[in-house]
Amino acid sequence: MAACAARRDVVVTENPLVRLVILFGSLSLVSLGGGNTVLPAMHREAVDAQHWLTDRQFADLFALAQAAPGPSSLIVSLIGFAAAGIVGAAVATVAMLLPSGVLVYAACRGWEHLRESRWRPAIEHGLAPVTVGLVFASALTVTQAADHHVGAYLVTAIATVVLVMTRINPLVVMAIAAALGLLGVI
Amino acid sequence: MTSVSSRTTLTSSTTEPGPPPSTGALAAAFLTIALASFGGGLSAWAQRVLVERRRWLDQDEFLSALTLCRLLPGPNQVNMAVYVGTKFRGVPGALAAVAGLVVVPTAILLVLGELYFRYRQLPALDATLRGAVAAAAAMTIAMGLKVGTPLLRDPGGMVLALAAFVAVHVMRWPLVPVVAVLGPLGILWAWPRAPRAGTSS
Repeated sequence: MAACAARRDVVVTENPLVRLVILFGSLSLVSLGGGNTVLPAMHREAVDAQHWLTDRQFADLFALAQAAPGPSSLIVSLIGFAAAGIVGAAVATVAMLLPSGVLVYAACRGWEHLRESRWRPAIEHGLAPVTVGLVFASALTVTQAADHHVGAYLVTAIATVVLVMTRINPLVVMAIAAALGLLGVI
Repeated sequence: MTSVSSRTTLTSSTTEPGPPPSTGALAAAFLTIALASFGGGLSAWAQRVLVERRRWLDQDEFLSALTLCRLLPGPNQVNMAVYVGTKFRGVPGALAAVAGLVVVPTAILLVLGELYFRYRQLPALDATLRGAVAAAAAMTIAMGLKVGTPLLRDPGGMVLALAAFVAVHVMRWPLVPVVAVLGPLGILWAWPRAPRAGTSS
């Protein structure tokens, strides 16, 4: 009871669920150019303002969200979870996905209207090579961020060759690499 | 029957779309993409599942959608799920695809998060993920090589790809202005070959 009252002094009227909706609902619409652009804003609110997480926990959970299956932006679920349990996780996730989802849906509808136009194939053919360059840029950024020593670079290099040259299911390659990690080779 | 079907496969160089996938199939495809991407590499898995396996999108449509999804607000792959879901099944399709992509991964993440909060660290998981992350990086590089190979025969496309790579990776310029410049140049480059309205198959 006393702890509850003490916390109330810090966070005046706000219910964590309301804070989650305000935070992620607004970040959803400004997260241009990939999710990581809003990470500093999430950190400011979750760590500095609301003390839902420590600095270390935030960094660990970000690494977890990046490596776990699914979009890395699901770190919002973990922040919501830390703030208000399972309900907080659900509220945070929906708040993050709904506003941008509605906007993208509207954009897709507009894009479908262009189906008969000459603009559509021109945009698709024209953006494809730009995307190839961007894919390489992300691939190298990820590699440099993830691989901290020779063993890891070697695994990335060998896995790339195997994936390009053979028809082995990539899951097999992933599983072998994960096993190497578990054995401490990487 | 046989002659008709063999003729269509001969004449259509691009992937001929079959009947639109059901909402269940959309959810299943994006769940597959999400679960396969432990360690990262979501775009590469999306390319493999959506283009190579299910043939729901051709390569150019997938690649351009990938960049358009990055330009719009929201997580890229969630946007891709909205795009693919909307394309085939409207609102229910978009909801099914997004649900497929996020519901199970969120549940997994919460279990891992709970373990993390309880034990303060996840050593075995950490080591396993380190390996998976190294392989996931390879997955993205391999995808780049695969989708980039056709550009070797196309100097204009090669220049665009190189310019995008240098601008974002070497110069570290932000994505939006880079695409704002290179996108229109790409469209200009592609314009002469774009089929006029009504002439497309």
